[in-house]
Amino acid sequence: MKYLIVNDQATLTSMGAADQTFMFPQNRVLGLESIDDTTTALLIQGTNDVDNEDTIVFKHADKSAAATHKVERNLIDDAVSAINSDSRLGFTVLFDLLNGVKLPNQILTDSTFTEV
Amino acid sequence: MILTQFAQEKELFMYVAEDATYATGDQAIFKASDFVGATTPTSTTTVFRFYPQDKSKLGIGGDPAFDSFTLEHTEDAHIEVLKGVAGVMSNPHGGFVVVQDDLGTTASSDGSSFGGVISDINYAPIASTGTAVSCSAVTITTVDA
Repeated sequence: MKYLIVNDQATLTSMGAADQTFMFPQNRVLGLESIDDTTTALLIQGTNDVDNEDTIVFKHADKSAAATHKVERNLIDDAVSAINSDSRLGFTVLFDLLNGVKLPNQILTDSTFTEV
Repeated sequence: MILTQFAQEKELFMYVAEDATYATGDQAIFKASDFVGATTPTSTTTVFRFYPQDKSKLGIGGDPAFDSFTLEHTEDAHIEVLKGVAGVMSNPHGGFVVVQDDLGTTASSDGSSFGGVISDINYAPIASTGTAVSCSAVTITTVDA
């Protein structure tokens, strides 16, 4: 089993509170959902409430604009590739605002993690 | 009542002990296949949750009472701690990993955590500052405790 990590805090001294930094196994992914023209959510089986879902939000360019209409589709490919990654390290960081890590088609600003 | 199913083949077990003196505090082993997730409640703690070994705590039809261990670590080092634990927890060959054991001894930063070596995970320094990362305590909430 490999593990996935997200962190939505951009400042080191802001680390350490609810809904910020999260690690979960690959097999707890429930699905990807389009929220609006600039937002796609990755749903995870709840870590503290297993019959509910934790939500990871990926922000991206506006898919209603002609120049970027494929961005969400490409982001989904990015996410699936990262989720299925057989990382030699044992983990894959989906995004990390502190260290500037993100999926290729993602916008880091306002990408978030929320635990139920 | 304890869960009656056997661990999966090549299961990986993670050992934690709350104190170097085993008469003090608790010790426990967690199965990697029971891992639910890890979150960061405070600036110096990261909690790792697992499905409970006690069948009566599975909460069928509701939420289980998770087994968990909480690592207390260098301030703001959550990402490095998560990466360190994920690195050892993902070993496809399974086995036995000491996550935290010899608290309060000079061996606590040795870094070897495989096989029979009783020492802890060697965490990378905080990426943005280079600050060394270590764990100073572990709290177990588990099984029949």
